[in-house]
Amino acid sequence: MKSRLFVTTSILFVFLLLLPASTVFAHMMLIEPVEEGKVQVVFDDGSPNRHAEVVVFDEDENEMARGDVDRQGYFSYPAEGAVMLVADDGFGHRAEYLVGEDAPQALPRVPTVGAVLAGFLLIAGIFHYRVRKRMM
Amino acid sequence: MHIADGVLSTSVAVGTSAVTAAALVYAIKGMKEEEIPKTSLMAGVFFAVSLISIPVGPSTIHPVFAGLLGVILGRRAPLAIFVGLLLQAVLFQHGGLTTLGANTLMLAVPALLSYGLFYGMVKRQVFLRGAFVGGLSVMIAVVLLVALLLLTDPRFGEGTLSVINILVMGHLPLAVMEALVTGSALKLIQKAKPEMLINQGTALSGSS
Repeated sequence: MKSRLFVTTSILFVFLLLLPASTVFAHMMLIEPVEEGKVQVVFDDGSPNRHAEVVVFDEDENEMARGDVDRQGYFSYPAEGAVMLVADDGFGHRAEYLVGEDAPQALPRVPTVGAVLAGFLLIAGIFHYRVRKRMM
Repeated sequence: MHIADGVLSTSVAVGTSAVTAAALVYAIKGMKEEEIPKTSLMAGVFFAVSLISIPVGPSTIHPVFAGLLGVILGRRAPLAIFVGLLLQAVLFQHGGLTTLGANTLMLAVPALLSYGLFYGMVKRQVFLRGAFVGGLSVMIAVVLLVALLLLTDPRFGEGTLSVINILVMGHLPLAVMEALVTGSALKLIQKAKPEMLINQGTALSGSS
């Protein structure tokens, strides 16, 4: 049991070490404002989404405009009256953007993943210890 | 492969959440303290590896290892998958809370199937069995994803370059990769820690 835990722990930490090296990493989709009337649909690694359709809504949630992004993920829309943009690429990625809002801040990935893994490890450790204590 | 908030129709989201809730009850029922460390560590591994994504065509794919999770955790696999996905949704908006049920289900079904299949084919080599369930899991997950998308909107299936065709083609290399990794990992476990697999086998007969 002890060595099994050690092996699994080692595997976990190898993964952890590999994480910063990975350039393509998760794919949350974002709508980032470029200038008034222009946004770019990107994944959180910075690469543009070239296939999304963006729908523009006004104050009353009526559809104002609709269109596909260009090859760099850019999309221009009539800025006047636009309140919310929704991008959907039909592959399960969807993003919303309220006009005037700053780009959403994502959590720093590596420390967060590290903290989560440490949490799982702690839970595993506590119960491993409890079970061993009970067996003695 | 994660479905984001707002993509699925409400009825599909509610239905899949209900099924997932039932799967979680099944996964937690009768769980012994001895099983918690393993489940917790596998949840961590799943959380980390399924955050890695590989762009294929217009979409991205990422490893899931539902087969490996299923073989190692058995009926506890849905719990590890749920916890991993929940954290991804909350921390990284990867997937979403309303689609958590659908995303969990897509992986829990192949994981449980892998568990049954792997221990059902005793006569074959571990590598072959592992590779089989590893590859099959990816395909089952994709089929479920396709089914959920079609239930939401039949337009996803239109045209030769439809979303569905691209998803299926994009996951073929992933299925091959996961088959190799799952097979190798289970072979390694069998050599280094055979009781990890045998325990699961006895757990099956003991709990059912």
